[in-house]
Amino acid sequence: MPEFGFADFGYLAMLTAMVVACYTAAAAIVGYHRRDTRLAISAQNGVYVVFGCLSIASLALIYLFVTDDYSVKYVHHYSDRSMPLFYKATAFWGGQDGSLLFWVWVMSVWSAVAVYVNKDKNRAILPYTIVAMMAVTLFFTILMILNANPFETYLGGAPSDGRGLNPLLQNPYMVTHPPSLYLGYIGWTIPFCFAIGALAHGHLDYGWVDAMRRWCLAAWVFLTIGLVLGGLWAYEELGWGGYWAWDPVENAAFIPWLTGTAFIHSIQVQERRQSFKMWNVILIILTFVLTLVGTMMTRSGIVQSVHAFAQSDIGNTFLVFIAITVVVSTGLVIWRAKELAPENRLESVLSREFVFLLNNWILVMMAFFVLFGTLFPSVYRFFYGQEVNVGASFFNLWMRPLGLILLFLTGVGPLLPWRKSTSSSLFKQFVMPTTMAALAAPIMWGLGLQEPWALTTFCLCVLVTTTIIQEFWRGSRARMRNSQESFGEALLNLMGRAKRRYGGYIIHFGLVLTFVAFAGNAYKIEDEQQLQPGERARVGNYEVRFDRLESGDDGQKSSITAHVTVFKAGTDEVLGTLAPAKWSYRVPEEQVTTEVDKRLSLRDDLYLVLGGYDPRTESVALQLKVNPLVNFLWIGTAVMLIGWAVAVWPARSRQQVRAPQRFGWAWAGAGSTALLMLGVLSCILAVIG
Amino acid sequence: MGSQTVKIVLSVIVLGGAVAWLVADTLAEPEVLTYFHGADVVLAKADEMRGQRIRMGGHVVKGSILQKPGTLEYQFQVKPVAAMVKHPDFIDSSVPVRYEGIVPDTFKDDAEVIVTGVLGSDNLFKGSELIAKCPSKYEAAEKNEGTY
Repeated sequence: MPEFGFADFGYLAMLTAMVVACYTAAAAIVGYHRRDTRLAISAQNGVYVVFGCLSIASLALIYLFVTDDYSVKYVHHYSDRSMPLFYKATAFWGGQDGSLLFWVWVMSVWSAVAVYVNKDKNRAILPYTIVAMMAVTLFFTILMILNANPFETYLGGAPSDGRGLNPLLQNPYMVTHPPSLYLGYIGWTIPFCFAIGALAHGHLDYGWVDAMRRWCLAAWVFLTIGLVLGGLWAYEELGWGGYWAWDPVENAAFIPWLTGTAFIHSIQVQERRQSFKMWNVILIILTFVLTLVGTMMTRSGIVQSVHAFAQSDIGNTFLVFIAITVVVSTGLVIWRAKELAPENRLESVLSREFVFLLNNWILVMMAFFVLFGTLFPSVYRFFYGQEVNVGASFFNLWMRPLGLILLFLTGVGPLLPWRKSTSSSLFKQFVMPTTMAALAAPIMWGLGLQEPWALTTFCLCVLVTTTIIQEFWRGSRARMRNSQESFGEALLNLMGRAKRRYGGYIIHFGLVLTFVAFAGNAYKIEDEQQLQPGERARVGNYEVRFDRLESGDDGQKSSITAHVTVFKAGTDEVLGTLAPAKWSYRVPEEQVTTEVDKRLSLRDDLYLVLGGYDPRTESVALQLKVNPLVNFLWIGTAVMLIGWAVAVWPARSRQQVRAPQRFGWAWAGAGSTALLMLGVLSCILAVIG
Repeated sequence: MGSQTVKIVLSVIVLGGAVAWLVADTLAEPEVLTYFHGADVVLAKADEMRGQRIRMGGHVVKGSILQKPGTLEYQFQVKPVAAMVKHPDFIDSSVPVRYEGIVPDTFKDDAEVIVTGVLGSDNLFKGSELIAKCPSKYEAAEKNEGTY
């Protein structure tokens, strides 16, 4: 009879969380209908207890990893004795079972914070919000208990060592990328729960949206960072020369990002114009359902991907929960259709709300196409039993035009006033940006940028950038004139007065920079060469000379490195040396990883992959890639993070508010600072390689 | 109310129809959909497969890998994977494949491969993409490829 160990302790904590979640939901319902304050408070405390229980369960799992307890199957599968402590602890989310526990733990953290912050302000809608939170928590705990228990132990003796974590996953990006994505994913769950709470209560004015605006921004920024970190990881580690491959797992995170971005825009229409109420509720429900679909896709093995997880049986349980969510939420929306009617109708197509509507359509259409392309192979296999692959060209065909329309709207939106605009103001707003874009087009054509998609993108980038500069310039000029401030003062005060607005503009500028990076893809150069020592090969504006092979061994792995000198094409001017390599790990299994080496610049990256080598002739097969403008993606992301921080920065004038809210500000401030540092750090890491 | 419902239903039908048509149209574009077939199916239905871009799956025949010295040109034989065979008559045959480019580290004798390419009129499969999985590590790789 095995003794009661930490694994049982963790499992027990999980079970307790499940029982408490049931009680909490029941207490919230009964308390709401009987108007029993004690029960309502008890339900709030229940949320904190669930958080406590799941924290204990998570700590227990981390403890098991750190103490090398290989009697636990999950620990045995995802770690070994030779791994550094840091990677042992983070192997927590290395596989399916643990990442589900991580999911539900983050959910409990978010829930507890949301309840704490809103317990006075939004007391009326809180009960059913708590019910929704507990339903989600319950689903994930049940899923773990039935199908994916991370605390499952071996019945016989414990293995002496673990199988270890895939070396591809043992790097800083993989430590930060999953939690960031999860924080984002689950971040969208909280607004969804509040929407359910508001629907159940019937109080559907701007209140619940206002309470959730900041949450949505937090969820959005985590998801953005997660997506970009995933891209960085692919670019650094996978060695195929790109950052995005329309892989199902990437798509799974991208789809809710699209609908979430739509939500962040459309709630502003509800704030200003008291319309779009129905649409906003539908959008947040959609976003939540898509995060569930995404989690299911990545965790159940129903789609094939480089992230290839073992097939597992959690898919059906997920489908049932998704079906329940859709039915219940749709029912609630229909039931509350009257309360969701708009108070104002669209007055003109030349208004900001109309541009927001278009923006929402485009984003939802993008989400639809990505979802369609991702699920098509699974659906096709189900009906025809035939494997089929949807190529990247499907996604590119749709995403390019839609993305460009979106970029265009990014520029147009801020220029149009709410409600309707006059023709004179339209002229005043548009004359500068369109002139600049029209001037830029022939200049860029003349410079040789003649690829139609890239040229269109660059012109739109000029247009949007001009509108943003125009907004900043006009705002600060007005201040300089009215309050006798210098330009710098005026600019700072301007941003301080309307942080959301100008933060938003900065985010838009970041988006422009990422589009510059996307357009750069049109000028990618790729070549593969077999080179003898001393031989040279030309790629784009570079020439490389393969100098020699070097082999090494550091105990954990053996390595083969190709030393390469980079020249400016056609000259003997040395630009630097690069050393792409192949590492052969012995633990956990013999596995070869390709270590890319790159020469970074704003203009382009020279990206070298050691494809193969022949030890007899000392020759190598090199993959040579020139990736133009890639770094604008990372820089654009950093700019977006800065804009985000400006947008959520606590207002100075509103400091004398009640304690819970001050807590909220402090939390938002601390969180945003930490995030920003993380983001900037990743970008720096990426740039210095 | 009635007329508004009609309007909504009509616009949904029109928009939905337009989107469905566009999607179907895109899927028909070349290189968007690539069908997967085992090497046995490729052998059995060679006439049907010829000229079509497909993904072919199978094992690399032991000792069949040839590399033209000093180049990245490879030629090898791919035989059906016993567990997935649909046409048992072809279990002992193989498809000759020509591939030019860098091969993955896991590309070795007996490795499970997926080659994307076109079967030519000379029954030689011209591959443009090559994915390989090492047979002995198959299970471990599957289990370990954790996180995202």
